[in-house]
Amino acid sequence: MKVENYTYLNDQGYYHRSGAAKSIAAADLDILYKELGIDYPKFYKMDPLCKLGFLLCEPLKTSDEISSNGIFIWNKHSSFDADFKHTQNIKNNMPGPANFSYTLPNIVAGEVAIRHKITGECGIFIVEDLDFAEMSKSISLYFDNPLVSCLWVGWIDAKAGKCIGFMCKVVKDNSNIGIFSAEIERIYKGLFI
Amino acid sequence: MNRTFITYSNIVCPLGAGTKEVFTKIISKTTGIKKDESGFFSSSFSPEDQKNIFGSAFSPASPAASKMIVRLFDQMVKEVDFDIKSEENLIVICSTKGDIESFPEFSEVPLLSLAKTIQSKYGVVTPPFIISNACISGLHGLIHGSRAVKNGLYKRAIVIGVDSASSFVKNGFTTLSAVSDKICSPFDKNRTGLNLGEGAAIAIIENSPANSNSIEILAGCLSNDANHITGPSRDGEGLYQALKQLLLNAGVDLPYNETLLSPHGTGTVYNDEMESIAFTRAELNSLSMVAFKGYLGHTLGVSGMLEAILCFEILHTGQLPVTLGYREHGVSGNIQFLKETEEVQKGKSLKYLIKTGSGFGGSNAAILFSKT
Repeated sequence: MKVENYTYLNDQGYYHRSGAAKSIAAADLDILYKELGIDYPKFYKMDPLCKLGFLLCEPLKTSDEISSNGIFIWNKHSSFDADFKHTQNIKNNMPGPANFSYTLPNIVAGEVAIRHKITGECGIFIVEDLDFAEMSKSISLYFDNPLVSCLWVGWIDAKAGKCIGFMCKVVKDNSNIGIFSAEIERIYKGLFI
Repeated sequence: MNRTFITYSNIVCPLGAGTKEVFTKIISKTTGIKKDESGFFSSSFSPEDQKNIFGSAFSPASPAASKMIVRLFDQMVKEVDFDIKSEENLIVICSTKGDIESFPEFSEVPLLSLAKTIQSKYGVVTPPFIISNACISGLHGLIHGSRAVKNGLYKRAIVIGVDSASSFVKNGFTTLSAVSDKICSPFDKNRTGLNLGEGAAIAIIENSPANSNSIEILAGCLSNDANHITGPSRDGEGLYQALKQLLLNAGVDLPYNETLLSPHGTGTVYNDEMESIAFTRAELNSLSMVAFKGYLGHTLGVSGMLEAILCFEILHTGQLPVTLGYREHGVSGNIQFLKETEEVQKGKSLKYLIKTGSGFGGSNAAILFSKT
């Protein structure tokens, strides 16, 4: 497996980032979306985690033939923002379906799948800290299916206005898990100093 | 590549502690779904269940999800002969919300807290792998664990699924108008929604069978509808693709008259109709079928795994339960369940099981199991 492409965000604008990844405020996600210049009104219904995932994945699509490929995201705080809002809404006797729909971390993969028509295997894994050896072993399991030529994988996290992450387009090749693990760790350490 | 087998499994839910105990209740058409003081139907642990199922070792006030996984882990540790702490084991925890209500100030991540419970109680050093994939979390865990063993990355996978019927989810599903005001009726003409449930399940996956009760995992697939974040695709496309891939990967010429199919069957209008369409498209109409949520409620992340383990009892005993709540056929696909009023079928010769699940985020899972 090897990383063919990767994306990240910081405060320098959607197309102008350089240097390290930085955490972004939830309100800035809408500004970055506008810079994309696309028309996808569903974006505004999403919670911050899903908006972040959407923005990170947008540049990964380079071809139309990716339906069988998959999305695997590592995350720490699960759907914290939606969970917290749902809990507050319950206290105030006004829980709402729109917010409750986002109280599952895998919805971010669902939103990205809808956007890019990805019908392959998807999932979310919750971790305290990233362990690149474990991450690489896990990613390798989803290349089992010979129809899968690439996976979008990464780490995305959003909590109380701190939105951060990176996403990689990983393709099959002959490199072993150890080499891939070192590569993804190098990318991560280069971005998240 | 190795083959993979479930060499140990167990469940706990309001109907009982232990697969055989719960299966016996199901054979006697006993449901775990009850109405509470506010008129809400769910399958939840009562104070009496606390005594009978958890005993004095667990305080009634302790959080439900961690209580359930410790109950299953404690029993597993006594019954197996390997070291749980070994780095050869992959521990996989599968849950949608964990003990979401134990942390009202969100001082900890509930799912990480479940992992820490396992680490501290059993001396496990490597953090358990945590899958949170809506209502297919447990089935995804079985797929992930079996691939890890099959590919030789681990000697063993210990997969544990759990979810509780917290007021967090009760309130949530009520706002989605997904909840029934009676005991749910999967695939029935008059179905009006789901009932929530809670429970936990554990399974150990290894690369050789332990005995003739071991169940082989022949293949497993996930897919995404890529259509809507909560509603299933009307044409069942995502589930159909998972089934299609599953049957391609099966590696066996599946004898349909010896195959059991257990769908997700939540009792909502849309889910059950979608599944019937997917099964018809996959030409699985002639399989023997059973749906469990009339007995167990919808146990969320653990539902597929918990129900699969009950299906293993069907394969072993040859007894096919009725589908509680199913009285009159109410989906467009011609699929056959035993009606609630019929007798349990005995002496069924069933060797294979296809278990499916679907969940929010457009997720679908399908796994093919067989007796050894």
